[in-house]
Amino acid sequence: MMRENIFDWTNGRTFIAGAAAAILLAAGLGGAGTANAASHEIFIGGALSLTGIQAPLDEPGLRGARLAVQAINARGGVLGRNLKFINLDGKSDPVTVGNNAAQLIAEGAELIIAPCDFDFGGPASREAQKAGLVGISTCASSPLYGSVALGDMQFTLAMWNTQMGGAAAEYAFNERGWKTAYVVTDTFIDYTTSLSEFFIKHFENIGGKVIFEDKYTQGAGDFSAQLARMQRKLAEEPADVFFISSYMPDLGMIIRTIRLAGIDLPVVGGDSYDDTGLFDALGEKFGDDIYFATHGYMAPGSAPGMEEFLALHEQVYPDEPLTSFVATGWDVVQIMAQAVEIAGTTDGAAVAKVMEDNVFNFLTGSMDWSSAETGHEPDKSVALIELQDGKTTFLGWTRPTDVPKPDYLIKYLERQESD
Amino acid sequence: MSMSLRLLRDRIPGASTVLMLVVMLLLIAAVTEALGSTVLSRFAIRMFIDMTLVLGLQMFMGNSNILWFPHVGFMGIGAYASVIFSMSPLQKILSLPELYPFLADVNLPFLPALLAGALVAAAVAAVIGLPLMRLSDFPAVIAGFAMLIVIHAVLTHWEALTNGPQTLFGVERRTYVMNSAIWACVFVAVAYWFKESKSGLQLRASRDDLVSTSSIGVNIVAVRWFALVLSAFAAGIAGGLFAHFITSFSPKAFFLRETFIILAMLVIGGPATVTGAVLGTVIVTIVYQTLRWVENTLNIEQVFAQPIAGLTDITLAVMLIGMLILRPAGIFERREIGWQALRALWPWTGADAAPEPAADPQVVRKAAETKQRR
Repeated sequence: MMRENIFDWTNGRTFIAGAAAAILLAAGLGGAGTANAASHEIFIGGALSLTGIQAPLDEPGLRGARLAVQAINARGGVLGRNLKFINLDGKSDPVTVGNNAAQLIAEGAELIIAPCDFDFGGPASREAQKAGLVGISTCASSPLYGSVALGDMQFTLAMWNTQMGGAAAEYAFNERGWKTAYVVTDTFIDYTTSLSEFFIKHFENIGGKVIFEDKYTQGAGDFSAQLARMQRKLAEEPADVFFISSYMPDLGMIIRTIRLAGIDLPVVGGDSYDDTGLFDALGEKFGDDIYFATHGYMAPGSAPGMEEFLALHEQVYPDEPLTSFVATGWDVVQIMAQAVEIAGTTDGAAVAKVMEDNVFNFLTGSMDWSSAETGHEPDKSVALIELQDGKTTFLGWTRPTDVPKPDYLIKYLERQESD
Repeated sequence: MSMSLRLLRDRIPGASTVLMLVVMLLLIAAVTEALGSTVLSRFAIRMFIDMTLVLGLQMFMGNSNILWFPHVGFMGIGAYASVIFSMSPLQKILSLPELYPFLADVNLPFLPALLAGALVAAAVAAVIGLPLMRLSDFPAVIAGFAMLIVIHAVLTHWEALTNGPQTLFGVERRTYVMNSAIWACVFVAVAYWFKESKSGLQLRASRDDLVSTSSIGVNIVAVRWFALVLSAFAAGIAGGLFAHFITSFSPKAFFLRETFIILAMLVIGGPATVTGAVLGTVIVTIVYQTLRWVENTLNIEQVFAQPIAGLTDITLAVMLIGMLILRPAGIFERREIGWQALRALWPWTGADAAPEPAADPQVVRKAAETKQRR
């Protein structure tokens, strides 16, 4: 006798459910294609992630972008057209991010906001490039994010790690006179690895000395081997400053471990320190003598338009914006709006040209991109922030000079010249 | 049914299963191509790549019943290896600056590069499989999991070959709907052939009863090893297709997230059957994309005050749990799709359809018979 089974495929019900799902899917896709064909609004598409490992980085940017759309529409839009912003959850999956971008473009998106990372943002930018649209990542600081790897209409709002590392190096060496550095590098992701690389390069270029670079891997959860090595090395040759390139949650643990061992040298780092999680983890006791380079500082007076942003943020969200990552989303939309206004069109090539030729000045400081032939390298002001007694203070804007170029770009430029 | 069809069916066992699945896949590919929507093509390509991967997993895990984690690791090896073979020397200077000189000038066309990449994955599996295949049950699962972590660590740290944790970019797009569909079809046939082959039968016998299978003289380590190498080859092909589809990736693309998705596809479809692997992939893909669409529509229309997120992941997890409770062996437990099963759909022919083989104690006996025949 045949076993009764509700999931047997020979049973009609499963088949009907499957067919229904397929029809739903087809209807969704079909409906999507015709929805906004004759819209008068300027449609900005976003593929930022709300779930998965990328969500903590993308969510603040998304907030900022939404606020900027609201602010720009309140003052009459761009070219007489209102902005419309739709974000589809990228799910921290590069393929889904690319699918989202393709779908938004099919629905009529004219500008694309890409996730805050080269791996996750790249697929969105690539779809934008294919469709001849400008794509901007909110805060990808990988030096790959530019025209060489992604195409001549693709940009990142963030400074590259070259500039972030360079700014940290110049602050330590020039401003504070710290001549020798001890570096700790988290080798788990590209961001931390390359940030250390460029810090060391620039620190040595301007005359500093790196006494040792130690490695750590995010997730190991134990810094004791590195601490023992650190104590030994520092006994041999003292250092003036630590450069620690890691991110939360382990960054907090590393700094606590070092401080608990009684080593109180100043610590310098990049924008991964711009994380309330870190301030909370260190508290008043350990949150001392820490300096980092990041995108901006969320307090009145730090940058043009900050007051407007803060007022609007207070209206919409219950909590204060604590990190500058919110500002990156705001700035992406502001720059898109300004560039479209100047170009008089949303045509990708025209907008990209305007972005290359103009200097923009918003919450994350003044910013300028190099031409497509030279990689769309961002030249931005860098915000320096100090953490004392668990509280942050804004030290001011800086702009490092002659920061190292990434290897691939040097080779690419050499090839351009020899051609 | 006509006489000639009956003959064909008897002559090539399983031909109808393979034929039906292949026709279905090619139909999906053809419709996708005809509609010409970028979004739909991207869904389809992803589905065919996942299907190749799941079919590879079915060959080893489905037939041996060893919960197998390192599969996406072999996918990663195939992805990196195929890119090293296919990328132009000029691009390699930018993308893989530390590559060994003897590999820097290698520049194969896409298909040979894809095959070579898959062979590298199969070769790695062949080496590490020798000791691992002696293990069964929990030790095999734990060792496999450790293997996934080892492969991930090697991909993350062998900078010369993989660019380390940094993204490998500048891969040329070579994977499209049709070629990914054809590879899925190839592995439908391979998986079915393997399942019905002598080694496949012996492996299935060892799955159902390890002790009696070894008592009849089957070299379990050898048949498992062969299945593993085949399965890693399929994973390598899937990796190469993925690399030439996404065009920039880093080792984190081949880790736990992807592992979870393909395991869900295979477990929901039914690990013991090829049909299960194929339709599990199709069903999970459709459910995933539909839920994503529902989620996006709800958020765009602002049905709720706060945007909702994570609906798809929760549903996929609930589906998996529900499946394990209600039908632990998957939708297609033992029986493949085919003429016989199809006839059971019509009530007037259903009477003479074969009943579902509940456990299949036959397999051990059949394996013993083939053993004697040799």
